[in-house]
Amino acid sequence: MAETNKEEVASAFVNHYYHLFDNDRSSLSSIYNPTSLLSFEGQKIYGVENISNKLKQLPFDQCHHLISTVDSQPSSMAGGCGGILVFVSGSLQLHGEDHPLRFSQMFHLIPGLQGSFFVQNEMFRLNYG
Amino acid sequence: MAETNKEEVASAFVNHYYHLFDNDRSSLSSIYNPTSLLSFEGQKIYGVENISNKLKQLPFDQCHHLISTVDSQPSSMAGGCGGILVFVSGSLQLHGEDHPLRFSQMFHLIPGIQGSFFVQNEMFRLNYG
Repeated sequence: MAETNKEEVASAFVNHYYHLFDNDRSSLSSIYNPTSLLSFEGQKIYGVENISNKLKQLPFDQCHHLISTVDSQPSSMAGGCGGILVFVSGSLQLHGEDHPLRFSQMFHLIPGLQGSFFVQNEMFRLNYG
Repeated sequence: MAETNKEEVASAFVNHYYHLFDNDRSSLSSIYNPTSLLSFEGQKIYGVENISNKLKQLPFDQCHHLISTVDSQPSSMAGGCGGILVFVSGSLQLHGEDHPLRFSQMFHLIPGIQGSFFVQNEMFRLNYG
């Protein structure tokens, strides 16, 4: 896949992920699979079912992500398996809270069937002062 | 490679990388190769030579990284090529500056010969308020 296409995939993924997270969090399960790995504030969670449960159990209902930066790169060398690394920073406004929280997050996307991508690796950290 | 070994590799890498960066920046070229990719504050730099030049040209001599968080995961599914994803956040104190700068950074490490690892992908962003 050409470099530009991978950047487009990364950009489309970021829009899709944060839109789902902020509006329909339970639908996020569609982007993971049984081998997906999430590190959420240092806690390691394995597989779509456990990840979905974790996301459902987060202690807030409404939130809004404001994305500041998105960087992406192909994860494999030429001729490799076509993974895409995505590196995001921004802020997260929780409903009812005065101040947004800064965060950074990374994703490793792996091609699935029919041109789709799923999240093989994901790591999320709040960035405190 | 067992999960614990990968965490140890990630931890050793982080110590090595920031020690070199803060004390002997020109030696960092040893961890890259001709296919390495660095995104530095949105600028994409390809290959060990260009990356080394970029690091040499950074507009400061002395700096000190203080690492707050390190997360790591295997980048490939079971039986795959053994890559390691490392996700770091912390602050960077430049000599002569009053306040440290917050940053986040990610690395994708790929096994080389004789048990070594090199940086295939790296992305760095300062995290502003």
